[in-house]
Amino acid sequence: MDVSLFEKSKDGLTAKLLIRGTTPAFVNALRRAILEEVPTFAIEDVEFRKNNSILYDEIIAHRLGLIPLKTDLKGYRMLKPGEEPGKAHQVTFSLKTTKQGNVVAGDMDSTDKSVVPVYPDMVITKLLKGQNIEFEAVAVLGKGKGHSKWCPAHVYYYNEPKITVTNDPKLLEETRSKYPPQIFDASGKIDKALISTPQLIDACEGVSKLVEIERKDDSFVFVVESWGQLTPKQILVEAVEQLDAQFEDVAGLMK
Amino acid sequence: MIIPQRCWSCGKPISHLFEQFKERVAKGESKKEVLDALGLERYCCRAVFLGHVDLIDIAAEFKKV
Repeated sequence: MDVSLFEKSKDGLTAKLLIRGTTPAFVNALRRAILEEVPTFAIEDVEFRKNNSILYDEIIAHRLGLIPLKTDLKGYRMLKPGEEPGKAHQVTFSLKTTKQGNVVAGDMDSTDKSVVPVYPDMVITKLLKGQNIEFEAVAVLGKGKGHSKWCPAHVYYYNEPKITVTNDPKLLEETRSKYPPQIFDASGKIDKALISTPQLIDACEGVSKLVEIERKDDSFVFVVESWGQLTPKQILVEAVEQLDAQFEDVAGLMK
Repeated sequence: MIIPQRCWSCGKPISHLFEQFKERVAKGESKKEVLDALGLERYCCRAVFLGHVDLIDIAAEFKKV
């Protein structure tokens, strides 16, 4: 198996990897390990002292849970069943405000400055004059298999395509309208590099001989789009470690 | 009611982008341009913004304080 970095977005949150010489079963195992096994922080318990905003406590608690929090996997660990929660497991957020307008994630005070909302502008609720809100929320590490709020990323993969573009002038005129407009460059010709997403690849397949697409069965483009809690690199490393631990478990059972 | 925290389908965090979207569209920019600029590529996330009706201001008036 051969893994290389194919593309990285400017914000560093999306990484495209090229994985060659493997099977769909392996890349899917990796995808599922990322979705289900990589721990991240999310708010789990909320205690409301006061809330007379229009949204009910339950709705606000749910909205709080969905706020992605920057996650430090080294300083914290997951709570084991039967263990007493302590400083190594959780971070507390508190908020007390009467400010009119949007109450945002960045208004919350965290007990640890390294675990804070990734996007401080995410809206919790909206207050009108005379309305106020006060709560304390506890964030813990959790896994995507427990609730999707703990999912670290959006992950998908597709077979690596081999794209051949002929740009034959006659054929180009005849079939131009059958191709998606995004794939034409400024001079009106098809640019191979613009056929870059799985949707565009599918749309260009089998239309005419202008674009020929061949898919390699043992080669994959693997996309990790992080929601911000961890970097794509951290996510992959942690997923591989979790997968390794699972294999160890199975090996142990076989003895 | 209020803009969802995440996209219903893919889970991308979006609620922090809605204020900008509202402002820029009100200034006359086309919705397509703004959605592209905000990085909402997939049609699931775009649909959340395009189909959203912001009723929280009206609904909040009915809250008994």
